[in-house]
Amino acid sequence: MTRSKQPAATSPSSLVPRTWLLILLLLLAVAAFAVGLAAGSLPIPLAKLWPALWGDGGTQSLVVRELRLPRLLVAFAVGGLLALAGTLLQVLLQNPLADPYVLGVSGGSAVGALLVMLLGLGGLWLSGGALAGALLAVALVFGLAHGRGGWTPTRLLLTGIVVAAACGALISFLLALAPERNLRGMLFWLMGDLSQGGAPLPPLLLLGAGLLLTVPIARSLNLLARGELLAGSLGVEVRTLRRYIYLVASLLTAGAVTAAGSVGFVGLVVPHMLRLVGGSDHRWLLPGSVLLGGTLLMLADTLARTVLAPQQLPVGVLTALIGAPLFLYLLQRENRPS
Amino acid sequence: MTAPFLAARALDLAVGRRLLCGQLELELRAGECWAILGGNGVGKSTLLHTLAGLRPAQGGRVLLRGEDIAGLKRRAVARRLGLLPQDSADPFPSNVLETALIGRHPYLGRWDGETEADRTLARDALAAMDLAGFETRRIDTLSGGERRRLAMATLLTQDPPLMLLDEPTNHLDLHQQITLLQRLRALADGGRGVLMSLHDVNLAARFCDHVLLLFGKGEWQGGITSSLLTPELLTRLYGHPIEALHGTDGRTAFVAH
Repeated sequence: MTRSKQPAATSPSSLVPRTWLLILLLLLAVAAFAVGLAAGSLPIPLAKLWPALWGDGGTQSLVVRELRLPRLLVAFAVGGLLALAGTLLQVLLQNPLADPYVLGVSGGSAVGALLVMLLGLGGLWLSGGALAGALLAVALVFGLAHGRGGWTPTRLLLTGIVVAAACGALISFLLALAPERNLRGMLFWLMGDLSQGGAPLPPLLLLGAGLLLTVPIARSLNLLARGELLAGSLGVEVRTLRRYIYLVASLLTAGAVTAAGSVGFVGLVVPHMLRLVGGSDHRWLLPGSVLLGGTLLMLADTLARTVLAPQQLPVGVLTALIGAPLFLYLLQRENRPS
Repeated sequence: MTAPFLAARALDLAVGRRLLCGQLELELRAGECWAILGGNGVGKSTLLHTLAGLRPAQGGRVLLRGEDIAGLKRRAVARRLGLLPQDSADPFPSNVLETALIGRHPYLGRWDGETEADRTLARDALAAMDLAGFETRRIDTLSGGERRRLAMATLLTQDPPLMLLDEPTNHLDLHQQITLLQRLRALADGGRGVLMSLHDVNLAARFCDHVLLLFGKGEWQGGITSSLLTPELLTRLYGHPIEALHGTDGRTAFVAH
């Protein structure tokens, strides 16, 4: 018999039980929520948060209930949507570098929304434009990447990158056409902006729907992440599942883009961080991504409106400023020889 | 007579315009262990994928216990047939036990988690592949041979009556190769069906009762090992002179010039 080597490196999953990780993420989300309610140009002590939240009629209550609460809820929903979409797209492409931005989904979404803004329309038209743009980008990527003999993850990724670049050019074109008075709003929205004061209910409902649509297929996602041949031989209907994932991910992205414009890096960094800590079982990764994505965007938006107060920064600038170095660090740490 | 585990009827396989198998007829019954032999690029993997129902054929049918595999749900197929792919991709962090446990997927309902019985099956499979004590190892820290044995353990955890294996001995040292083939032979003797592609003629001669020779350009020949493994046919198969050496104990070894 050959000698079996003693186990050296322990798995990420054995470090912390996953239930505890989820509880920890939940606590983090609650903490970020409280900080977001309390911080701002009118600071509110934590002790007074609870009564203010339930409405005692004062200015503090007004600020918390009318301004900060809805904005935080939108931030949580958007962060959750992007992280969930990112997790799904990474499985779809079997590539930890995939996210809605890389694939052109949010690019298409942004083009659709900007077109609507340029026409001077808003409200529901904006959502419709964003969704139409996202689906169109998806259809383009799907159609072009398919070609003969089915689509491979690499071809899909490359097609997505090209479509994303084309969307970038279209966005510049639309901005060049835009009249002066629309420009600032469009730019802010492109960078990702939560100061518009959108209603929190639609993105929150979409987030709930996203979880309901994906948690039941979590185990199939575990298999697809290991390659379509293995997934197929273990009973996954690969083609159907892939289409389903891409459609759901596009829908989630379009919802996020409608609510907050282009917020980058959340969809890329969040699933990656969680996989490093707790492994790649999607039964916990999907809810975990929602919690961590929501938490990160709540924190980023709180920072965005407090660092340079009264000046408000677009939250997308902050997520990119935090996300890019964090991602590079994680990547470098992972590649270090053990 | 009951329907064979796996049958190919007038199966045509082509990649682009290149014909790999023409009108292939194959019947694999319980207790049989088959080897697919042939040169590089002759279509061994493509044939295995098609027989597993993962790739459409250009003509003909694949029958799984008499039922057309194209009409079966993947989940139903996965309970009857398992495939060991030629290589495994693991772009995301995971550990050894988790990887073996995915073999239980076809038996679990949508909302079910793996039970203790599933875990026991997976641990036994890991132990059988000489991977006991590796349960919590990260898969990206495994060597090539260890990964191969882990993939095999996943197939053993799936525990299907019919096993298709694409070069199962890849990356394995000599001892592990023999141990694996002894195990596959024992599984066949226990009533399972085994079909694998191999590059080692002598391993095929020693462990497989049937062979399927793929000559390329659509030509094939299948049947009992002892009647097909002759120096003449093998020389034609590989396009390289091969002779048989007979040992004093009655065993035959095929040697390339």
